[in-house]
Amino acid sequence: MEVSASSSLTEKLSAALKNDNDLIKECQDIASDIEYGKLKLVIFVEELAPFLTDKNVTSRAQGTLALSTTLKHLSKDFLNENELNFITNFYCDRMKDQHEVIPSVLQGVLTIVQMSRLPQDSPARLLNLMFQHVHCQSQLQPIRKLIYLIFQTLLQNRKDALRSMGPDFIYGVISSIDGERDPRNLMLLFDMLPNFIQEFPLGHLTEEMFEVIACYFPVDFNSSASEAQTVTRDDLAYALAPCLYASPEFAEFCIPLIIERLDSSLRLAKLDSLYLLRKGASTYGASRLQPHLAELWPIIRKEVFPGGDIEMRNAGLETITELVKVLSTDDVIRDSFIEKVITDTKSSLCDVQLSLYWPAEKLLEAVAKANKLACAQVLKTFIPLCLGQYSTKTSYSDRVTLTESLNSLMAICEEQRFVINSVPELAWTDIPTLYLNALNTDNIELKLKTFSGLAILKSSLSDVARKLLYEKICMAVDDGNNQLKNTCHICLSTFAKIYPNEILGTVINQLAINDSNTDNTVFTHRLQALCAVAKIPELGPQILPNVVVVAMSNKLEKSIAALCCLRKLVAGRSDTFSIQHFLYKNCNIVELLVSADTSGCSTQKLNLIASICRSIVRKLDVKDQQQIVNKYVSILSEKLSESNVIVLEGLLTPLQRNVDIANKVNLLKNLLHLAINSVSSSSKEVSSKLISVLINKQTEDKNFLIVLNMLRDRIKNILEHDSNTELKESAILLNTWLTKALVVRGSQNSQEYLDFHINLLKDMEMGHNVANGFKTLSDRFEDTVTEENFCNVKLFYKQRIFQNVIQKNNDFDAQSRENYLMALTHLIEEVPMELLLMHLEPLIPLLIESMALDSSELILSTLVTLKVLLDTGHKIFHEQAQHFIPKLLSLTKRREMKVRTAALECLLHYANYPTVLILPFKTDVLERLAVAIDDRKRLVRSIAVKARTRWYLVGAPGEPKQS
Amino acid sequence: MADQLENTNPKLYKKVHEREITAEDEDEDVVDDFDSREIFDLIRNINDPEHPLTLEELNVVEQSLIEVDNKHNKVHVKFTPTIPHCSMATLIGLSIRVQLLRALPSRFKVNVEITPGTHASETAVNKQLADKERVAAALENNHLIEVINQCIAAKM
Repeated sequence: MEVSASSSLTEKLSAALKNDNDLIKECQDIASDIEYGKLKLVIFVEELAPFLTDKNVTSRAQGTLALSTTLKHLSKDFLNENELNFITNFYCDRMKDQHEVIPSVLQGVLTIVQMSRLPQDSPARLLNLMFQHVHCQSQLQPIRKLIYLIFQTLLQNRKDALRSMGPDFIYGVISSIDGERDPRNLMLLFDMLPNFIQEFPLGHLTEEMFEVIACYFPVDFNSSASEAQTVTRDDLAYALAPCLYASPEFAEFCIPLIIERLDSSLRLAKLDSLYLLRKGASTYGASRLQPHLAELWPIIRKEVFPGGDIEMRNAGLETITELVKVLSTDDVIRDSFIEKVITDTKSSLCDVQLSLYWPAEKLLEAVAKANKLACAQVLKTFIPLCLGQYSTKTSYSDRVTLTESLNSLMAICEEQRFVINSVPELAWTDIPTLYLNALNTDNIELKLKTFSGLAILKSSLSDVARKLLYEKICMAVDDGNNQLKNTCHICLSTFAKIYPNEILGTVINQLAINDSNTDNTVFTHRLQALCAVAKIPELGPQILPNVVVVAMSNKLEKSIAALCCLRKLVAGRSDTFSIQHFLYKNCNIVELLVSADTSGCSTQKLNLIASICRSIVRKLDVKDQQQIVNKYVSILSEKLSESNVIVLEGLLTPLQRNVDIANKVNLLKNLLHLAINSVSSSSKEVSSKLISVLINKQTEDKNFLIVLNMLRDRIKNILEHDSNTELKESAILLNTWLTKALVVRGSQNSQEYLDFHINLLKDMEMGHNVANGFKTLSDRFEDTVTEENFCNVKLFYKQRIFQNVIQKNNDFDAQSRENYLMALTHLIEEVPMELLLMHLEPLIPLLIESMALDSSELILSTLVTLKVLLDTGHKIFHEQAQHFIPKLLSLTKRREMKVRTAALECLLHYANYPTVLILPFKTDVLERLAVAIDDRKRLVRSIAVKARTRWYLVGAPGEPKQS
Repeated sequence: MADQLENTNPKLYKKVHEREITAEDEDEDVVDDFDSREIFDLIRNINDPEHPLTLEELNVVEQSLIEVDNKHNKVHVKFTPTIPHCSMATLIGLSIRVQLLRALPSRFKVNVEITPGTHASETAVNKQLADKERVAAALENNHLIEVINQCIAAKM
């Protein structure tokens, strides 16, 4: 038995060794035989012996590979210590073999170091011989990776064995990785090294270790564009940094390196250095940083003061904050560093008008952000400077600037939970009083900043001050300045969150809304202010019922104002207090709204009511929704009128799909009647929309088809036989919404309806209307057939419409051509950019064609689209420049100013295209735009000037860099 | 370019708000005349050659110092150097000239001058700026035009 088994094994092996795939398969089989005890490892090795000892190097390599691959397929805890010892010996021996055998050996080593019962001394034996005989950097990339993986594995589970090797291991690692250039391998190393450096005392090898990593800093590497998935420069840079600050001992080498790189002129080197310093500062610690501060500070200062490059400035400021944090562990060091910063910036802070005031202010803010002590130190100098100027400067804009600075500092104090006058040297200051006095000013901007400042001081204002502030806010609310409104509301709700009872007591009385004699405008402003705090759980229940009372009153203007506020409230979200449920349960709002007398109502009021209903019903559960339907739908639909259909739409649109509507067919019939015959255009539209929602949510069964056919027959009938234009318009509107309902849900009838709708573009009389309907079909801001309203929405429906329209390009000619192109431009405006970019090839000729037709409407919307597309800098616009640019130039002379402006804007965008490409057009463009800059309309001139001055720079010295 | 900045920390002035668009501006039938604000908008965003700041922020150009005569096609711009010894005065004047040359219809005769009494060598600079041939020659200088283009393009 055994003889035949083994002889067949030898045969199979020698056959398998000729082909890599066979070998893997064969080794897998052998591994499972060994695991099941059918074959002994010793026997297998004996069988392999002829290969392993063959004089031919290739055979030896193959034999070793067979062993390594088999081992790889054994489970990690299968082999015992003896066996592994034996294998270790074998691999140790093979390390000395020729270059060609080494890859197979290393693969085996990687496998056995993962095994749980590897003898304690094996790693050291293997590594020592590997370091001696295998020169890592002369191997190929995958082999080097094997070596690093061996390190990684051992670092993870054999730390003690490695420690026993002492400096030999560290030296071995250093010499193995020294000179690695492959980005993938570097990522592996950068990932592993921080841990290695922290775990193993580097001793006299510290500098060598640092140098081996530091040579990559700053990372200079461009990943080739073709390999999209590979490592990027930033990956490498972010991974490298932790290696450089892995040990505090690196400080003496790393900080000088940072200083040197920061001083260079390479932007990336500076940014990387600031990042490294920011991250490494806490590892290095105050005492190691201190000797370098005298050198570091001026170099960082250069980047933030005045700080023209914003990214650099922000990186610099963040670094300063981090540095001060670390330096703060030592009072003396922190003190002297901050003192130095203050000395260097103080002169710029003495006058807010100086151009360096803001850079200096931001710098001190960065210092103050570090911690409380640093903040106090900055405040001691800065606050007196601010307050001094505040009292001497008379211009509003200076005071605004100073208020802004004080606000920023107060916000930092607030974050660190202390107030300015708790610093002993600043006990004399009284910013709250200063601010409350400042509110007497007439200057809106100053008031704005002052209100914001007082809101920052929310938790430290005395009750007297708060009372005064509430008065001022109420006065400002009654004044009703538009710019101040928002800030007042924010300020009010900031305080309401902390002191709800105070607001309930004073503010609500002062902003009373139950006095019917109050002037309508003042009334509206009060209402808005109250609603701004109605989201707060303690206040909402007190405020909302009053607002509802006003909303339902018969005073038209006041009721509309209240409805507007309610709509805003129910459309928003609130985490702490569900306004929608409160209004439904406690104020019975749906009942009130539905039963309101709508007969003489303005459309505006009806739309408000519908919109409020929609937001509230959307938030209710199925049970509540069903209740509403049962209660109101029959009443509303029985006497369905032009006005109550609007309210009905509000109630029905947001229903969940499983809410049952009784007698739906009848309802749809009534809606159909209104959609076609109503006199009011908004009732028509609302009816069509409601039909669309209902159809979209209905299950596709027999009834569904009957209803669909009923609707379709009526539409067809009107379009084919009626001569009344208005009726036809209604039919097209309804057809648009019907098609939308089906296409959005991806219904099986949708293709037929879509084809029908696209074909309607050929209608000489109505085609133009049909084209406009395509806007509705793909409208981004459409809020009827949406997921929020529990409609069936398929992911790629816009794409489908778009592709369908593009495919039909050849079906339209002569007169219907314009309608077709119009429909297409409407679609283009609404579909996502990625989709457009996918279809640019067929689109571009259509755009050019649209610009050549005589319809201004079509030209304008084409130009608007073109402008957005030009922004992408797509290659096709390079190729088509000779078509677009002359056409755009001729459009700068059209009658309509909007067309002229849009054409000029496109030309402006074209100026950013590569110089080589557009330079041939420069003379022509400048000449033609010489006329445009003398346009009769100033708005056109202003764009023409922008375009012309930009084109002057094309190919000229000092041309802006192309991104 | 001088290596040392002459005025490292100049005073800043507030910028005007964007011009509001009126109903007349949008009316196709109304002809809009050029006015001083329009000219101001053309030059206020030119950058100072030394600072990352605009001529408006430094108060070098002001709307009140611009005169426009639509009928006779004349534009007169006065500018104020930040300090009386500013060596950049000619360069700033040139930038304003170049920008107006490109942005205004050729029917306008443009005059750019230093605000009287605000610069040490006022007459000399004014003479240079008024001399068409000298301006043209200056614009042939590649280095000079590069600086001017950068000033004009910075906040475009």
